Amino acid sequence: MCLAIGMIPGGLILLQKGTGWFPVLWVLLPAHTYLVLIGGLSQCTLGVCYWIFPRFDGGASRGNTTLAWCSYAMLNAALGLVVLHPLLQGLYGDVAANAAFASAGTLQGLAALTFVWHIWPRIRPSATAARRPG
Amino acid sequence: MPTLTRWFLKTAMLYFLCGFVLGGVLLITLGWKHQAIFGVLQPVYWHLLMVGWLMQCIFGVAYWMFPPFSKDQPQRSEALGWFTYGALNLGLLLRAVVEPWHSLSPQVGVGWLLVPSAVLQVAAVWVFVINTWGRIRGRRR
Repeated sequence: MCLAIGMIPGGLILLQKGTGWFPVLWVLLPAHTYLVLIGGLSQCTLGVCYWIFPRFDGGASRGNTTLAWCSYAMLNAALGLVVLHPLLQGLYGDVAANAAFASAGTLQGLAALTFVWHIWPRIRPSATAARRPG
Repeated sequence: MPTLTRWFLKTAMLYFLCGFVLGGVLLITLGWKHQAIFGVLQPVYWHLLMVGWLMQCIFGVAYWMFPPFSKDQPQRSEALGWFTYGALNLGLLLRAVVEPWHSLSPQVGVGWLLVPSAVLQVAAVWVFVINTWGRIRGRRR
């Protein structure tokens, strides 16, 4: 979803580059890069890691899933703040936009920390042979 | 999960952590973006994420999950796999240090350190592709 949404500002910015119309569209650049690279590609990779990495208790447990859910929530909250910053800037000025970026930055760092905390013990030899999709 | 995959994935997770923290710091300091260090660290941030985190994570999972090359060599050449790991990380770390250093105080000698960084990263990816190519196929009957 983030990937699909993130392509829209990217397309608009490319259109602006080609035509010279609406230079204000460049304000969408942080939203485009964050939605595609963090919300799309990084989140997809994190999801696949959560899914396929070796589990505990003979496959019954993924360990501390609360940490993974916290990471998911914080990552998407950070994304939301970056995407909404032009709106916050328009409504409340530069201070609000900077506060949104600062909160997004803190949430992003914490999201990474909690995910690594969750996944680190799962990077180990599999208890059973890995399934090989083919 | 093979040993090399574990090294790829644990290293990738460390880059993910460092990259996201650096990205967070850059977001927090966005209000002071006139500072030279901000522009200088942007390429480092994106490369830590794209090469150190995403590419390395994909390499590790591919090395582990792709169909076996043969019964004797399921991962084809383990030596080439380790070469990829070493070259990619050496090249990336060299870049992460030298690129901002060169941007802040351009010197010919320092700039030339980016050459081995580039060669190592390109070689790592080519060796990975060559070593993995034979494993991209349907299930053996």
